[in-house]
Amino acid sequence: MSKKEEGFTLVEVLIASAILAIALIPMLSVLNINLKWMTHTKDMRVAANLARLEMEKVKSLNCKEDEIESAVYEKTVNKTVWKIEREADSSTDPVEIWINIYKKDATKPSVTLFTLKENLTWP
Amino acid sequence: MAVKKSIAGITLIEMLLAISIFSVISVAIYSVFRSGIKIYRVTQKNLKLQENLDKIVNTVVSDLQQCRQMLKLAPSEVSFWDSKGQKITYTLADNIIYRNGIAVLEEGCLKADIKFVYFSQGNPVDNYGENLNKKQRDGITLIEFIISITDGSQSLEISSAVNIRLSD
Repeated sequence: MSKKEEGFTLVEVLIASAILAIALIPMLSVLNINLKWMTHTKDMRVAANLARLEMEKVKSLNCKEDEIESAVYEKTVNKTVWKIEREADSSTDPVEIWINIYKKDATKPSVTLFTLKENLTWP
Repeated sequence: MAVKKSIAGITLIEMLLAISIFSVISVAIYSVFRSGIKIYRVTQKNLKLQENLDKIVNTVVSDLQQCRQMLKLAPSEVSFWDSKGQKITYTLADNIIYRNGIAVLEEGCLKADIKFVYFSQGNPVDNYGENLNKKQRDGITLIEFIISITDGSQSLEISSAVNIRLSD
């Protein structure tokens, strides 16, 4: 064989493509971020509407402020179990009512709504 | 006859090797590209569903908030007079929601479903259950509605409610 030919050897090409692949793999996650955000907005929509549902229930009651009980219950929307938490803080006057909507077993609520209940009775 | 020792060019082996390396790389690139397109389509479809569902929910909520006199309240049909003295009717037929006879969604490929449940004193559902067995204010009706929308394989559902107070 004549001296040294100019060009890349097979090993060099393989190493170069391996480095390229390693550099490109993290970029694949960019594709998934889209899906993640889409799911997030979808969940926020569902949670906000569930919170509105619970708040409207509280608003429609005819009862004294100390009669409102705290409760947790589940509701399935969009094939997902949502935990609806209604919390009445009786130590405050007017009573603070918090509504938290959790997705499945999440520890952080997706949506929180808050209102005050005064001791009013309606005719 | 003199045979040259070495001819400039590439051998068959080298060529096959080059093609195989190239094909391995291009298969990888192609699959990434294809999944990118797939994700784009799924996102696009889902976004369309969300937008359309929002549109229905907003229309239903803003109409119900203007309700002054309820005429009919059935699982898939509501009819009432609003504050402007206009009669508003929601009906569901063949997975299309109609508002005063006009389809709420123009896009025919989307299938929608709406269900109204109502809670008021003396009516089929007296209390809400869920540890909230308290009396409701007189003249207040809570209308809970579940709206779902389907586009082929994807579907989306929202559950919400509006309190309506009848002026009489």
